[in-house]
Amino acid sequence: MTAEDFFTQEYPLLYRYALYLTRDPEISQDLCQETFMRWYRRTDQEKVENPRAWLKKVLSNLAINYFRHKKVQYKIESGFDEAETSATTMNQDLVRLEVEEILTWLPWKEQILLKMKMAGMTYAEMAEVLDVSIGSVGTMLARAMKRFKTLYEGKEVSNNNEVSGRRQAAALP
Amino acid sequence: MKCPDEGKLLLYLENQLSQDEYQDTANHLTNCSVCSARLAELRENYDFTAHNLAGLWENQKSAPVTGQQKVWQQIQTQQQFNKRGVRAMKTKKFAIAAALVLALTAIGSMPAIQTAAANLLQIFRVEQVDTLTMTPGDIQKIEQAIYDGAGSIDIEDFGSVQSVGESGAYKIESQDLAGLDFPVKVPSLTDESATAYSLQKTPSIEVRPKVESVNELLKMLGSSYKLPAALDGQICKFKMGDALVSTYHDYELIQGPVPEIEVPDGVNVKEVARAMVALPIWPENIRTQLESVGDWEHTLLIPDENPQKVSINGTQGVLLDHETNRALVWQEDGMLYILQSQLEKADNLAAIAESLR
Repeated sequence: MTAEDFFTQEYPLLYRYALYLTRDPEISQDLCQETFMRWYRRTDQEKVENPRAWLKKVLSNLAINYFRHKKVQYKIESGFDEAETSATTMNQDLVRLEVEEILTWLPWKEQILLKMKMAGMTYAEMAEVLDVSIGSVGTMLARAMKRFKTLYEGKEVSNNNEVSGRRQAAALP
Repeated sequence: MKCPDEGKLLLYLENQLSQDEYQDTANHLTNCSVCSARLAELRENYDFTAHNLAGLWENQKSAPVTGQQKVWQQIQTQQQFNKRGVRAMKTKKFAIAAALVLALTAIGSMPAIQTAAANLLQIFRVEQVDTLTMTPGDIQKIEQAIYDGAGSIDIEDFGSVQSVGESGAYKIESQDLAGLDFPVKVPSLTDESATAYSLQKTPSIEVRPKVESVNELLKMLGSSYKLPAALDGQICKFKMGDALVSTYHDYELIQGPVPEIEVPDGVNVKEVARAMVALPIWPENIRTQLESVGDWEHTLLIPDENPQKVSINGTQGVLLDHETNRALVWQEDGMLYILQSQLEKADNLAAIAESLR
């Protein structure tokens, strides 16, 4: 397979994974570019058992560096505008956008861990890209799941009461 | 066994524990009702999260893909760039920085020649690197000050500047390293070996001042210092030897002989430097820095917006810590080293630098 064939085959998957982690198309393109550059710089590509997993791992690592550098929670910039979400919006989409929004209330490490976990990364891979032990991954994930559920339920309660529950939900420990 | 924490319970649930740990935890759970309740809650959190987040990743699989062509083109460009010796370009940038120092120390200079014949050359070798904090704003101020004093000037009115010799980067193999003019150093921090080597050739820069014009300019700028007439048309040379660029996975190392400045015999570099520093064109913060340079003959200033002094094996180095790129510059035993990386943290770079053998 030529270098270009490899790129053409892997880019869409990698890009979508990057977009899933970062929610930002431009950042995703940059991360993909750097990941592929590293792949092509490797002189021992044949030693990599699973190139796709390798790309995913390197990209996760770069994404983490990116968030670490930003040190702020990232928010969805577009796509969720309550004024425009009407009956025409599929209910499913609405739920997904709400889930996205709740995720942004979590610390970035917990967000990215949850996302990596749901995208099928193993504990060993997550530990490697975050540079922590598997035990710490377990601790962080357990905490993230608990927090996610609490926030989600907090939001539902407040929605039912027709008041915005965001502030109180976000203020949870 | 004491009660396991949430993290361990999750690893238990996910079957990520060693067999012994798994067994211990299982035994504990049968005897501890508190922990088995915690496990149940954890499982609930897990299922809830998985259920609600599953859609995100599934949905992502059909998200529109953007930038594919653009990214491929950028990769292509960058790769060709690398082959031609891009990394090389950074070396050149450094050479330009060095040339700027030449401008400060030598160009306008070549003074005080006592004897008419200046066929003997003085050679100044860099013995230390130092920082020069200089922002684009400072450069603008300097330009403005020159403009205010002397109007629009063309460097060619003040002498000729020529580059002499080959320029470019050539890929070389590891067996060629022994044939270089200097002993090659490699990091000993890990046993990682370089993925590629190239030899960077940088041309020498030769400056021949037109003394009369330079003196006129100096006067316009408010200096009473004059270059001696005997210096007219004499060569002042800035030499960079060949440098080896070793590319590693996460960084690259550039090493080569320190740059040299050759000036005609009899030139008092210190005196010239003092005269240049005295010019009223420098913003105050730059002047203060220039005044503090003790040894103009052997100092290489690295101009940058925020250069930091660091110690590398006891000698002073300069760290350029930019958001996307970090570089460490230092000299040792007549060799100049530049270590640069987009990924390594500054501390790591220093550790790699100190591990060179």
